[in-house]
Amino acid sequence: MLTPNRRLAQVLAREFHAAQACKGLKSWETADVLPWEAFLGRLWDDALFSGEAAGLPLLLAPSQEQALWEEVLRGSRYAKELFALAPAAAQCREAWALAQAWRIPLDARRIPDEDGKAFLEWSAHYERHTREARQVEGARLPDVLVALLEREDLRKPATLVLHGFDLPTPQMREFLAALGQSGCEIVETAPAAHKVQAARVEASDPRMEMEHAARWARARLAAACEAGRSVRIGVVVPDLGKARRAVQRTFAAVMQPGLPLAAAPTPLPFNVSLGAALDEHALVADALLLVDLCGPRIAFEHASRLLRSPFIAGAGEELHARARLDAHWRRHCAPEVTLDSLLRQCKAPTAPPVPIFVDRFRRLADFRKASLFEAQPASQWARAFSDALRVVGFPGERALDSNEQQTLEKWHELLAELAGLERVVPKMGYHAARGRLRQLARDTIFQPKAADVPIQVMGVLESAGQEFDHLWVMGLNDDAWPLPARPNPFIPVAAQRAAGIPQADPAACLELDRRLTQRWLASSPEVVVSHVRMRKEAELSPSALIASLPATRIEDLGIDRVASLREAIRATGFVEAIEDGRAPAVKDLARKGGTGLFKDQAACPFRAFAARRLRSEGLEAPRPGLDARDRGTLVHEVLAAVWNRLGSLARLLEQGEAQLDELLAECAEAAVARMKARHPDALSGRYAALERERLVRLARDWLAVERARPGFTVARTEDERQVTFGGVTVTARLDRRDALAAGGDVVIDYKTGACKTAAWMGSRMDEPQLPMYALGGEDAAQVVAVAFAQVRTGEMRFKGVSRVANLVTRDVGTIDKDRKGRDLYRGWPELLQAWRSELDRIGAAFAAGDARVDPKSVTQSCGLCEQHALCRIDEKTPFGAAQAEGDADE
Amino acid sequence: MNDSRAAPDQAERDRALDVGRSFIVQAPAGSGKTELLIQRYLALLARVDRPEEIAAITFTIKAAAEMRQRVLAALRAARSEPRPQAVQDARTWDLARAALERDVARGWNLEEGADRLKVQTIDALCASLTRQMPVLSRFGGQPEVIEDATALFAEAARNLLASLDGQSPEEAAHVERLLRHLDNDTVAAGKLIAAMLARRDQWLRTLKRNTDRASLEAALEEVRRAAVDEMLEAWPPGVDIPQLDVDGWIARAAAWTTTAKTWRKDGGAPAAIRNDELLEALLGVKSLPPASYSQDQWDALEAMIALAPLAIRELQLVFAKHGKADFTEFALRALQALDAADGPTDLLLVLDYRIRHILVDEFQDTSHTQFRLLELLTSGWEPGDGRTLFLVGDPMQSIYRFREAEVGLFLQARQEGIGHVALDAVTLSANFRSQAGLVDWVNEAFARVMPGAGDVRTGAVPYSPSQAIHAAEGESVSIHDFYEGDGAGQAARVVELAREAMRAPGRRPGEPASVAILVRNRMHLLEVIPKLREANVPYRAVEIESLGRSPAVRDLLALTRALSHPADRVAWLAVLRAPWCALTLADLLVLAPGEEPVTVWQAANDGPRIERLSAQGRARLERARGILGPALERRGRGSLREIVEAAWLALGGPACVEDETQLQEAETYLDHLEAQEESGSLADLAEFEESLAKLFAPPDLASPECLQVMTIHKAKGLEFDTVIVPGLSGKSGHDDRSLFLWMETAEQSLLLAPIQAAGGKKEAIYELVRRLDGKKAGHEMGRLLYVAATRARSRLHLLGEAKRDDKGLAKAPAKGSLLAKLWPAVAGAFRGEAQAPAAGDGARTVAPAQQARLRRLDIGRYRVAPPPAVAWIAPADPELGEPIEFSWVGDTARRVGGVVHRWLQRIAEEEARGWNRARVEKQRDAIRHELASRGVAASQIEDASARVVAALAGALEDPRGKWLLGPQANARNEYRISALVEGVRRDLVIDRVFEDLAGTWIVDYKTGSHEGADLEGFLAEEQTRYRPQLERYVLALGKPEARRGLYFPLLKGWREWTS
Ligand code: SF4
Repeated sequence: MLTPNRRLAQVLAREFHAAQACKGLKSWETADVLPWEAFLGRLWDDALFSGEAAGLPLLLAPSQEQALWEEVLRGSRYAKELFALAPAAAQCREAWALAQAWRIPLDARRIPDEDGKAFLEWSAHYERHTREARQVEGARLPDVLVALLEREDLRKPATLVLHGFDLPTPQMREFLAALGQSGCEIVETAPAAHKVQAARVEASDPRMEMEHAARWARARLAAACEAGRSVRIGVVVPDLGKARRAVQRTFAAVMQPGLPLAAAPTPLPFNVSLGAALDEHALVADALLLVDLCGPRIAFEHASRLLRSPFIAGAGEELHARARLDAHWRRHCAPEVTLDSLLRQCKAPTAPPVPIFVDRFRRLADFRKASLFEAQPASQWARAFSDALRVVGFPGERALDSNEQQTLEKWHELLAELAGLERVVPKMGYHAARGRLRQLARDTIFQPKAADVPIQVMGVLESAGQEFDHLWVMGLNDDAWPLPARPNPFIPVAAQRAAGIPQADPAACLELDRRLTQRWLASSPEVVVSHVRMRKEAELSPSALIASLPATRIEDLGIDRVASLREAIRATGFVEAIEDGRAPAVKDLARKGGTGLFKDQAACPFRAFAARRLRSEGLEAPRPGLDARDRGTLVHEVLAAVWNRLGSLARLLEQGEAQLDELLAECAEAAVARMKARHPDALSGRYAALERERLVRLARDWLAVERARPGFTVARTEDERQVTFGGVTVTARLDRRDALAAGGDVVIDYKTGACKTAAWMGSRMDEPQLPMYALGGEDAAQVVAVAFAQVRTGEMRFKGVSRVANLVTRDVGTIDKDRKGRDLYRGWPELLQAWRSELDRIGAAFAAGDARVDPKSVTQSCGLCEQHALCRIDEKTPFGAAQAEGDADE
Repeated sequence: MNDSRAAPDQAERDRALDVGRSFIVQAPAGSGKTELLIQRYLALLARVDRPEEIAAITFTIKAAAEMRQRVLAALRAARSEPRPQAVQDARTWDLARAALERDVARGWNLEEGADRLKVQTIDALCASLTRQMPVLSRFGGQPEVIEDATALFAEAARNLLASLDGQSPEEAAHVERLLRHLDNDTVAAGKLIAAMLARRDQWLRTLKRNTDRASLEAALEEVRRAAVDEMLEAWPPGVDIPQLDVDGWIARAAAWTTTAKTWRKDGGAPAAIRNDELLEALLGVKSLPPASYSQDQWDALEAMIALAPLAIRELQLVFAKHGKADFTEFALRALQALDAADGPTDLLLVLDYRIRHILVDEFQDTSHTQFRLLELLTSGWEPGDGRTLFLVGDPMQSIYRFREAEVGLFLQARQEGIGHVALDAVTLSANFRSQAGLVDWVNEAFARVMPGAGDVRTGAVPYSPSQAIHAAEGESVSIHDFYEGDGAGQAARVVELAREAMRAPGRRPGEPASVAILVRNRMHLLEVIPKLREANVPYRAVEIESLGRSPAVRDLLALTRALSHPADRVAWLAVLRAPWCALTLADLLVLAPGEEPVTVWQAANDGPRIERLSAQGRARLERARGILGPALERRGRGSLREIVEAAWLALGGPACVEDETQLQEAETYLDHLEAQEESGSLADLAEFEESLAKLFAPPDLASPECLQVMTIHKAKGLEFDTVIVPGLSGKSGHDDRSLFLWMETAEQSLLLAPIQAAGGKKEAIYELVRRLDGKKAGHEMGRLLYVAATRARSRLHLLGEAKRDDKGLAKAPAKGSLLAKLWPAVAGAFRGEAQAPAAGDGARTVAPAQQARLRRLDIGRYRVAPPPAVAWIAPADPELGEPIEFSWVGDTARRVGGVVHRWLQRIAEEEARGWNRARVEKQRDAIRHELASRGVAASQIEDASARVVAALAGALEDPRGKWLLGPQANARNEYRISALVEGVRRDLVIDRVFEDLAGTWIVDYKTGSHEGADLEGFLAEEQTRYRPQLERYVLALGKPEARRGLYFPLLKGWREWTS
């Protein structure tokens, strides 16, 4: 018995078995039910072993056929321009198959358009190639076999029953005719005709529709089980490919709401007839990434995924160390990395140790150098890839579950398939081989084996010819059903229409789908068809093919309302609120960090607690080149070096142009070299040169500002000291301290971004660093000015406050000239006093464990903070925290 | 529209239905534009040969669905309902009736095959064109559409910058120049390039033109000249005009005016010219750039021009690599394909029908790309050949400049037609929506707000008045004036107004009053939303609160991050602090000590530490661990969504949210997660997190709220009884800079301006182009106001805030706000008499009561009884083969075995008659072929075929083989039976069954091979291995006494046994 698809064959076989078992038989001869393609395959295989073998062409596997088409396209004049070659090749394959099946002559008279011309050129090439290599693909197999049918030694069935063939192609008809002539009896079954109760229901949206269908299936199953009947329930989902996950999820939740709480998975009563592409399975995805890792470079995120993969040796043992290593990598890596650079990162003294990982991947690095670059036959590649995986201990030590077991087998088959490509593509390089493997994985739809369960969820095609006790067909909206025509683009639509291909012609599509609809409506005693009112924002109508069925309310289908787990949880939960804004007092008041602690505490006590006491930090994102912080560091280092060498304004003024340039160049060079040591990937050749150039330019411009100052010597650069406020001791770092010729010191902080003196004014100051340094030492009395040195192209200037005017530059004025400070403080001593008491207050609050979620300004403080999730700010401000990051109109 | 009287503009409407002519229709707000479109569509249907000949293009998917529904509804009504009374409805009915007749005559069956109505968005149209033209569009295979390609733009930008160290010295030099211009800031440069790529359809077109220095500078001169000329237009008549060149005028303007933008007292400007208009014009002249680019500017610009196509190339590589492309790419490719196609002939072949009529809705929001598409689709059309264009829109409602809409194109099309198609202009004026009071106010106000004359280049659209159909009814428009710093007062008023309006009866019979708060951007709701919540006013926010800010989503995100990455400390701590676990600060401190090299999760599993937790904390942690541990163990199994969702449910996530909205948000988040994850994990967590900011939970359509809150853009196409527009004085936060700006001059030459150097002074050319661009933006603001105002059916409230001068009088607001735009119409309402606002520095803070509050699930009382599972009897699991050890050697061996097997079957079928070594040898070619078909590598075929031959010949020479394969009684080969073995059905294939004197034999061939010494040991092992299999055969055949045999042809081995 032949069926149009595998699914139907399985179903029929099962029904046959069930009938035999019902008769009380213990064993019986297996029914021979198989899909059309398999039947042809069997005939061909028989022919191969019938003594005909040597004369037969080689049958190409679909993957080989695809690869061959790709080769043809790649070798053509269009290759360079095409965006995506493989899918185009797939469409050519389809066009070719259509032409064979529907007998469309491939000649320029019929196919005169540009796309058609290209196809003609390709298919001529393909035809020639296969002829010369004595190859044939599935599309032409019936024609090859027809010639052999007369032969005696080819086994043929005595009787062939056709079931569910709605629209045989001319090729199929010819073949069957020939088969009939060779003595085989051919019978066709009649479609089922149940007396049907059909209901049409409307759901509000696709999600609800799916849920109704699932609940309905549950109700029918439960009823049958209660009555001790066996039952077959079908659910047809057009576009199952897109909806697959939603189906799986919804049906699981309805059939067994408590599943997420269950300790071990239990079998579910439904099966979705469509699997996922093989590369969607994590095991295969990671294997493919490992293959990628053998290439010249890999995206950082992919490397990171591999590091955390459960499928390589030591994954369990080193789980946490590897995660921490990943966090470490993120601080130092560029968005693209190499295996070697990653291994180098592992050697850094601060990197968490992961001996197993390093050992395995070092071996992989050696392996790839030894065996992965030459062009070689596909089978060699397949072997090399599988060896590479073995080197890293794929698939790891965690016991594989049944799904993974089957996936792994499928993966091995995939490698074998890759090897088989050498029949059509003699040799390939690493990139080609890797690309092919990936593509094979993408094109392989794989579904782990499932038990025979009562509820079958399937696509439109698979539903053809099946019978059920209950059937639900969903998604029948007028924009989806009848299916829109979808002609192949490589053969003019008119030619396809003339040949009778239904997919090419709206009228034929309508006809075909009308027939399918009628079949559904006769295929089981109860049929429900459904459609939705809204999808996204669009309002929709039912398909006209079902619109005439009487509308039924969902409530009238006799389905019990089953509560969802979500609702059950929501109903049982009691949430209380407690006060928890104060952590235990800080025991160790001498802190390791810097003044940032005060900055955090001022901005938001919770932030200080989280960042400083919990060490709560997120993961960084790898970045290309340098970020603003690195660039700032470079500027700091250059200026520090320059002043270390010069020491005073007088020396600066003495320098000749050339001399100064040389000095700057040396300092810049040294700073860049140090940075390079920290971020080897970030400062490549020319970029480093540009960066040096920039640093010299900036430093030179900045020194012009310094030249205009009254005399000074540089007392300290990059100075560090312990300072204590409110009992908390931290390290205050200062960029520079100048002793003025006029007496007194000025403390200076370089800023490469915009800065304002307002950051020192008022309570909860934004930038406590300079005040802390200035007040923190015994030499506090000598400080007569504090200043930011704003080192920014085009905006080079000092900004600060001084005891009396004109100590530094005109921009650094007394407090009464300060925009914000003049309203708050009268004179320098009062400013210093205010600073001290404010800093003491902040320090004491931290020490006491104050951890209230109290950002100074939700808009600003929270904007760049990474603690959102921990402090739960969104719960506390009604309209999102950082929403305010200016968004544009709309 | 249920009016039996004809509309005042009925004649215009009738004219627009002339299916022999092409039209461009200006349809102001409320003028019943969609009805007209549908009438036209129906009228066309009655004329065409195939319905596909009419292409209707809408702006959104929603609009397409609506239009299609309405056409179908009209057809249905015409078939089954009597002709209605109301004029418009009757008209539609008549047209539908005619269309229906055509449908029947031609057998279209439109109501069933609605797909034949080609009503679609421009994106869908482009996708269908490129799909049908794989080669011409240069797509080959159609990529997947990606709505937000930001990450891909960034990747392309990064790749472009990486060519600094690439192969091509030329490219490197360009990148170097660009970086130098941008202070070597790769991050900023990357962003600028990415932004530029996102808008490539705009400049690609312009960069195809002359970009040499001379032509660009000529354009610059033209623009400078034009600015001076414009200034001179404001020159008072009768006053002498100094004869100066442009630079002379710049100098003069500088002399006459101050930096504070006033006339210089002693600047020498004649008193007669000292008016504000001229002052402004002169200030414009003063800031004109010099006549040529500076060397730095030119270097940078040249690099940008050179890099632009390279950036595109990188982008295409990135698209190809990911197999994805944005809508713009589809549009560009569609253009390319149409351009390359040989006009309509090719298109006919490709589509199988001719597009004879095109209808475009919302034509005011068309972009250059779409305009070009129309030109191409209509190429070859001749006047009077029966093919028509029908463009409908309202230039007064063009508000999508940020999406490349160019309202100027509407004006241009009206003046010049499109391609060869001349368009008749129709202007509608009836307003079916608003009460007369409102319509009158809008007529009067917007005649002042909008410019007096149209201008294609600056997108100036003059006002076109409406006539109300509905009579006036009570109050219509109120202006509410507030003064600087009184955001709180304004917000309070908004709430008050909304409440009041919701209490009023709805204007539509049987419906409650519909009320909307409309804002220019979400920022303007910062104070309103909290007030609404405080006052417990139910509202539905449409795309206002982004998903990323929802507490429920934050918790889910933390869970996602934690389960994806054990070392993500914030995420883990957040999971432990979330209401389901809610460890106190003190307990967190115990678990998260600073120094040790452990992750939070390790600490949470560390006995001594757990000991130190509070009792409550221990219980809570214990519970969470029981859920998180297994979840972490599940990594790589199933989808991330499943894992996260299951953990969330088990933790009690749904019980922890504050309201139903958050549950909805959680659901949306999970769906988004499912859509974004790839093979069970997120490729880039940071990117994923960012994507949440652009995501909104769908409005809960089931909720009955009648107060809606949304942006004006979102409200387009909707209507409400009452509309409240607060925050009129707010500015747009929009100020991003792009790598270069461009403009077309009046003479249609191109002017380009590079972005200013980092930290450098503002570049005059760049600023000049920006100013001109600002004009467009200014016009659009007027239109945005128009859209807002015309959403109202009966009542409109406008709220704004002005500054006051020293005397306490309201000052005219500065440019850039909607209020400034509206000022001419509302200045009178701002008398400066409002009360002093409450103090406050505007910083948003957390209320003290919230600062220390920790919400937590009461785990003592938390008991979930999950709803019961369906009761059914599960069948046994399917049988899985035992895992096969994978090896390459094994693989070929297996295939050799397969071929041997097949031959043995055949030989046995022939009872080995005539088979001997010689005959086997003769089959060598066939065997090679068979091996090849089974995938044996070419290099191994020889070896493998030798082994097959050896095995077969061996078997034939082996006495055991001869006996086995030779004639036997009741022999069956490849015997397929099914049997119930221990209640489970098994399908079995037995290699050979026969009877001889010893009884029944059940034999399987095993083609395993063995190298090495202990052959006997191997065979014994094999026997153990296959014993169960053969026992199953025995059971199935019901012959317990049968003799079991295993034959090893490759080894000439044999094993037999009985029960
Ligand atoms: S996000 Fe805001 S509230 Fe939360 S810790 Fe950071 S600054 Fe404080």
